[in-house]
Amino acid sequence: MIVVENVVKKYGEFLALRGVTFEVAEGEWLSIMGPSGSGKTTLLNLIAGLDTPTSGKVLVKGEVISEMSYDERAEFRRENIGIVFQQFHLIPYLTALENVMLAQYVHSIPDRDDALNALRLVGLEDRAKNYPSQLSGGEQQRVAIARAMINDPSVLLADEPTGNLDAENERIVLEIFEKLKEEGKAIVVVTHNPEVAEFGDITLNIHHGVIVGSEELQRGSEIERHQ
Amino acid sequence: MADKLGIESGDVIEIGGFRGKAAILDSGTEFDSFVIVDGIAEKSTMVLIRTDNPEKYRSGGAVILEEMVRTKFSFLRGIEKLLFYIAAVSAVSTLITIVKLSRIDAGKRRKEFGVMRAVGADTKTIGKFVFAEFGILTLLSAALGILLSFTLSWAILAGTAGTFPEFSFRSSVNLILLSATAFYAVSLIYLVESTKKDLVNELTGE
Repeated sequence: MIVVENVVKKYGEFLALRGVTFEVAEGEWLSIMGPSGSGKTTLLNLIAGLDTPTSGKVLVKGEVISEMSYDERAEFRRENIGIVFQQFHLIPYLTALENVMLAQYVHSIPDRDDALNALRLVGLEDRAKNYPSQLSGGEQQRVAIARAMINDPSVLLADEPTGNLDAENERIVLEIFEKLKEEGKAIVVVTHNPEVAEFGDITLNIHHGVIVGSEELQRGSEIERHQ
Repeated sequence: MADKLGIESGDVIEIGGFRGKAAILDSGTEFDSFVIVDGIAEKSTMVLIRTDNPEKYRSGGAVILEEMVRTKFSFLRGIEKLLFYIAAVSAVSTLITIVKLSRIDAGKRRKEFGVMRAVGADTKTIGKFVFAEFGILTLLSAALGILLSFTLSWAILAGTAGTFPEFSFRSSVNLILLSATAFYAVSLIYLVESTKKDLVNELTGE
């Protein structure tokens, strides 16, 4: 589903990524860990097509997203990739429902019932008319997940999705990701938190733009441990 | 015969210090095509002549009405010029302020544009979004402008002259066009901001 081939990213003289290679299959959850400035968010941006590598290739669903134009990448993202950010990034003057419908508007035609259903799946149907400022951090993140998934993308990318959440909301968000993984979505989660990384099938450790370790976890009762 | 000011032929009138009886030859009111003949106090008759060539009457002691008024009210031209310059400076400073404020606001909305990019909006989609937004602003501001200007004109004219303004469709269309031009010119600032490729920096960070 996702193939990253020998990707190098330079910002001026600074080498953010130094030849990173890995793959993520359908229905697989990859966790990317590393200290601040290690290049993990840069890597996520490259997979999302929000940025392009200096060299190397990024393929998503067989398409070389790294060689597409700015607008082509936006179109590709619209159809295939959902993104969740640490800071939620909901539009403050739109309600929860409208924030979800924004992604529908960009994709095709807003459908209120579908958007409400997406909010129901993240447990927020009754908060549809609330503005982001009226929602807790966990609720805002769940709205952001609904927005990311409303157009049924095959890939979900999350940058520190639980970084601003308490333990209870962290558990809820990770459970949602689990369900999405079971539906066959490829999930990539950037995190500082080893407990969150444990939910992944594979964890990549990045340091100074290089993968310094990769571990395939024996998945078991991570959710139960959180509960 | 009376002219448009209600002056009857033979009325004693005084204009700019000239006093005499009016002989209305024509009730036209074209300002710069009249001369006043024998318009001096000793004479009893004042004749208004509409002409394309007022100079030929000057030797006969005629006073060109436009010149007389211009001389008498020359200070008004000074005020008019001053007001024009004040208005011009105000317009330019307002424009600069609007552009600066718009740039600041567009900068604040970078995150919003970044979110739209993140959910897959291309330049065309964001452009449509911005143009729709500014279209609504144009219509609202134009409607408010027409309503306010008509109401204020009505109040001022009714209070001072006892007359009422007529609704001008042409002026209203011009106001809408002016609003649209202004808003869409400003919307370009937002469009430029929305196409910047570093928008992603507003959303992520390590």
